[in-house]
Amino acid sequence: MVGASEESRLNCLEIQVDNGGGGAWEYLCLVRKLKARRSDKVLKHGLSILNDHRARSKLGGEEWTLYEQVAIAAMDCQRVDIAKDCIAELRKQFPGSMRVGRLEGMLLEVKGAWPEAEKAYQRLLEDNPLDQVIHKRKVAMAKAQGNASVVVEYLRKYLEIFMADHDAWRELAEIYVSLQMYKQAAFCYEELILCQPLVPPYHLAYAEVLYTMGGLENLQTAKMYYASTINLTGGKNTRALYGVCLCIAAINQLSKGRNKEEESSELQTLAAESLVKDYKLRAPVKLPLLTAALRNVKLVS
Amino acid sequence: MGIATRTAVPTEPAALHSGSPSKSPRPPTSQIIKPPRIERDISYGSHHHHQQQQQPCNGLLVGRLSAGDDSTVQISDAVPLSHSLLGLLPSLELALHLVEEHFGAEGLSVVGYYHANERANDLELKSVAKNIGDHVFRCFPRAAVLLLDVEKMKELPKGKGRDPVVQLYSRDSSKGWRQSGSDGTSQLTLKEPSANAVLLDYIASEKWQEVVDFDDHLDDISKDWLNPDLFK
Repeated sequence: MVGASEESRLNCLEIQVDNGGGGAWEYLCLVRKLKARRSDKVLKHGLSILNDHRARSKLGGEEWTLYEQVAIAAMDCQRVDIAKDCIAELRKQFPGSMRVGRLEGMLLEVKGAWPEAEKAYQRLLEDNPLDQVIHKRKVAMAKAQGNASVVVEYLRKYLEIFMADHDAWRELAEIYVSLQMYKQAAFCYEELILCQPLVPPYHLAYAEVLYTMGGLENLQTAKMYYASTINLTGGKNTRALYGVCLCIAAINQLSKGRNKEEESSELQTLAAESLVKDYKLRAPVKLPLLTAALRNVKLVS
Repeated sequence: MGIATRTAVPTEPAALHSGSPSKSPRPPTSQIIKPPRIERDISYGSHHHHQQQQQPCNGLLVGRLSAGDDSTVQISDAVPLSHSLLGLLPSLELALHLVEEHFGAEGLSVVGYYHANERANDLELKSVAKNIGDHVFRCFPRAAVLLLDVEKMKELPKGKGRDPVVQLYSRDSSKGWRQSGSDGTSQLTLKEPSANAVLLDYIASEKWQEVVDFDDHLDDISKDWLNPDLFK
């Protein structure tokens, strides 16, 4: 994930390069470092360096990194011809390279030659069964074909080997959410919270999944995780503040008539007050709407 | 739970007359037989999709029953909702609350839902979209679901066709969402004949970069999901 300051730096640099202010190589390096997906720009500016003999030779060994970057960007932009040329150059320089082999597999993917790509990856895996990128390519391939059950199967296999890959757990959780398999999604978020207990987005996502599942017990747990998100972010997370209000309203409605006791009204008041304060400061236009909605929720409860 | 029980339109005639209220409100049968004809400006939904072209995205349609003609639903506005994890309930409920609240003052309500799939060549209405459609349906029994048709959108630059670039789905009597059009049941018509040309123009000028959806608002509340300056 890209932080806000890094993204604004990237945007500045992009405008500079777009307007002919130089710094193309620096921009391309930053895109790589941040793993940003700006294929159209990378293709344009990367290609202009590759086509300029002097600029290219200045890069020294980094030249080949650029070939790889441009090849991937070209494939993302459906420019098979350019990608093919780049990969051919790389193959000449590094015969028998695994890394080039991956690119060749990706080229087959772009052409939609799924069985051939699958075969190519399988061959590469025979030499090196623990190549993370190739395992991920196989997942991505299933995703591109819209085959959700295969995506889940491959990702689970992948996670059996690379258990510590947080991004993969998150990906699996998100796929489960899109399939509306909330119980399984909750399991993934539990794993993530266990691995990295101080990352607020995991607490938040877990709470949202539990809220979606519904039922008194889930709502109560959801409320706790919304509260821990507020705690971890110093009260800065709008979703969590809203979430607490939603949970309490839902809990009150479910337990209406069963017990007279109002559910943690202090937490509700604090969350609502905090929202009102934020809106007053940063979005005063929306304040009447917020207060009306909060009043509604209380009416429901 | 919040919105599930809040109905913008009285939808449950059965509950009024008999002692056994059914859980999911159903519209009077006459409305199912005579499905809505819909007029709308398409540009919003397709813009939203353009911005989020690596993700699925969705939004709410706002409008009212046409004055003097009960069988027509007029869609006058749209609110972009989300571009990630569409299957989660909290932000949807919240958005429905706030959107109803805002547009209620103008005599409008949520009348439908639009959806764009993650993959461009995927033209299937996913179960998440159907469930959100059901959610809207509970508040407004003539609800429509629109699915972005990327193939049609690709045809736009060729200047052919005045058809809307979305597919219309409405709820049939068996509680499923069915695509309308081919059998002549429901129709989707554009009020502005030049809508597609305008849309094309907006795409060319990369208007989609500026669309703010409800997700963006929750990340930074100073961003307004009403997009007041977008089409100025």
